[in-house]
Amino acid sequence: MIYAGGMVDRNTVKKAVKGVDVVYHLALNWDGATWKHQNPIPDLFDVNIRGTFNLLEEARLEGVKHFLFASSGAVYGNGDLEVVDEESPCKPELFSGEPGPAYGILKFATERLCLLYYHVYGLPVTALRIGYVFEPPSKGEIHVEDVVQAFLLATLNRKAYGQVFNVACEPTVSTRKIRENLGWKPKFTSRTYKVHPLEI
Amino acid sequence: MVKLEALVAGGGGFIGSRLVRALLARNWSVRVLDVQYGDLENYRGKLEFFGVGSDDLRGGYG
Repeated sequence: MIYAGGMVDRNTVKKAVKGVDVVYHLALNWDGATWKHQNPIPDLFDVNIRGTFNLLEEARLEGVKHFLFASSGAVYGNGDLEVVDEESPCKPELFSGEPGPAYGILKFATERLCLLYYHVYGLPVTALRIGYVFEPPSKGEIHVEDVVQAFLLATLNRKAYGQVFNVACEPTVSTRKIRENLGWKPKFTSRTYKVHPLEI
Repeated sequence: MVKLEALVAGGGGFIGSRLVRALLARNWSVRVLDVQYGDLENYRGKLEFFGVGSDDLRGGYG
């Protein structure tokens, strides 16, 4: 039997959030474990927007201490800037990487919804704009353990509330903000080209 | 010290499962909201799961 009992189901989310101190939102309904979008884009937006709202609403009502969201470097699109920092313009509709611009727009939209709950309700929210993650990383990619470190450093850290941080690979993406504010120091700088693609 | 508790939505995924394990290593209680156990198959006894086996895309609204 197929049923919607994940983040789209408000009762499931209510039970899952009840009593927790911190919510990490890394969930994405796409095409299972692929980077494609064979499902209709409106359907993808329906479930992901609704699911994000369910998590945010329950976090707000439950008085969760910190809500951390896995955003994406795809929100910047593919501009002509040499280096993007958190203040750079976002044009996710121009994102040409996998799984396409709809993913960038979805991540941007859901990131902004999370920040809405910070500004309107005072829910402590942090968004990490994560770059391409591989294990081990090659040039231009970031190691998954460095992403985990970024989440842990941000957790329950007041300097992270209401903030967006790049978590990616220098030099095309600036990580100055997270390094200077949260003390993030990526440990892995491997140049190995064996890759392990993933999705978040 | 009071034990902290986290919900990791998407905890079965590549980054999520690593985050879950890192939180467990720091003595957090961890819940996972995901449609699958994913990379946490071996941690089923240590975690509370929500939503496994569901399909938000094809199952319609619950």
